[in-house]
Amino acid sequence: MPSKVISLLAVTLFFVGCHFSTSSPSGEVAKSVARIKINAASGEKAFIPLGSGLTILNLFDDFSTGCPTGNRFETIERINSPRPTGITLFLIFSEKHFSTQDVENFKAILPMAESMVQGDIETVRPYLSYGKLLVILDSKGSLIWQERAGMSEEQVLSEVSQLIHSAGK
Amino acid sequence: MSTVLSIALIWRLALAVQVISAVPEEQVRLRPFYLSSQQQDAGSKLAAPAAMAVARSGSIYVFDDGNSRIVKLNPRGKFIAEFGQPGSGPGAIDRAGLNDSVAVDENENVYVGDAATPRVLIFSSDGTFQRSFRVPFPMTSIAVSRKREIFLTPDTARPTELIYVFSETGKFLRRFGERLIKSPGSLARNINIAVAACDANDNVFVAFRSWPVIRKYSPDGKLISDNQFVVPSELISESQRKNYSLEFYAKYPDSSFMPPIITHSISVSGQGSGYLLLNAHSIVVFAPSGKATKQFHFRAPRDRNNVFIRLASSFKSSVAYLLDTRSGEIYQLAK
Repeated sequence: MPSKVISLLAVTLFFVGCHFSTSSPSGEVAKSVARIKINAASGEKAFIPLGSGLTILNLFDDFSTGCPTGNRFETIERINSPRPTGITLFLIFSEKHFSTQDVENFKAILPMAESMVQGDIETVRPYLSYGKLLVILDSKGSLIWQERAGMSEEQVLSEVSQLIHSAGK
Repeated sequence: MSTVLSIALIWRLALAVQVISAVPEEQVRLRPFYLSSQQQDAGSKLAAPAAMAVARSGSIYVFDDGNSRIVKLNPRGKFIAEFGQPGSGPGAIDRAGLNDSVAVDENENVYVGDAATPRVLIFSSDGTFQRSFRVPFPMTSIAVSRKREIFLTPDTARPTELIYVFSETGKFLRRFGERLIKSPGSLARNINIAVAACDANDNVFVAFRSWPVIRKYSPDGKLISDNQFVVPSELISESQRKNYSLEFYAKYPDSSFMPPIITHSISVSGQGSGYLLLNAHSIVVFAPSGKATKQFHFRAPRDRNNVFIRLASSFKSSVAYLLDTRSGEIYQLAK
């Protein structure tokens, strides 16, 4: 009987984990984020260059208009308009699901072109919610905030704006 | 100088005030072409089809939204192939919603605008998946020119242009078209939703979902004409008329909105004239200039139980087809 319960629990966790696993310990997320590599202009893989203040990372493995939490691009535009001083921003698109041309198109179409890069984000895949995750790192690379599963775009905007505001004081 | 300014002002006012008038009912013959309910094979039945395009060969491609696939019918209305599938991976199609999400080029390559993911997928006529590319917004319609440039109309609150153009390989080329209302806001977003179609010279016709205007642009985005058509008086109540103006919408961009007209689709024939399908049971015929020449309501075989959301004209002949999303029925519209 206990083995059946454990099996059921394992299966449940597996399926829940596919979609809503951002509740995992932030230490694990921090380690995974630290292993992300972006495709540098030189064509080589590079770790994310941290800014002197906060670094905001939005990781996209997918984006869907069916996402119930709203439009992430619009949220980031609002966070970034105007770009707060001392803040570094990266929008990292999974090289597995976005081609180089896709990212070049986004740069041509959307604002924040200088923040868009392609990268290998496989290490954080378990922590994505609806194909995306927003995290904030300090200048030492420590994770100080992460998006929680099910947050609305308004909540993300509100909490990130407060953090940026506090950091600017 | 003041005369020029006055003319310009009067012109702007004329554009801002729509014409509301009674529109006649006309008897048109709708000949059954493909009736989903009469298909013997369960795999041939359509589920909430969302879009359709007619190839030069006369074959018809239907975006069968409920089954996440493209269905190919031959010119006699026989089911001959299906391609695309739900799920993920190359060639997988998600949902079109109620968008006009399929187009066919001269070589009968099929272009699908998957509004949910959002992506453009390209298939050959035999259903072989060729490639796809991502776009950063859902699209309300897709059109393709003879040069195989892909024209998308975005559905976005961002105050941007009406048309985005991509090469057949998916490279973003240009954007053009001035929005009706430039302010952001949910109502402005709805008012600026457009549908597009290309003519044989690669000009682009644009109609707005909820505003009675047909625009014609050159392939590089130069506005050639901007024509209003009549809003049928029976579709708009007295209380709505007062606020049905671009000035009102610009002033209150987040107010609630119940549009009196819904333009479901635009289609251009090989001769350059075209059709708009409005409110499921009205048709506007327009000349190659974009000027409306005729407007009428039509009676459907099952009256209001038929919900027509797509009208696609043949490139070679004057035949047009009407797609009923509720029943999965396709009718030929005979002149």
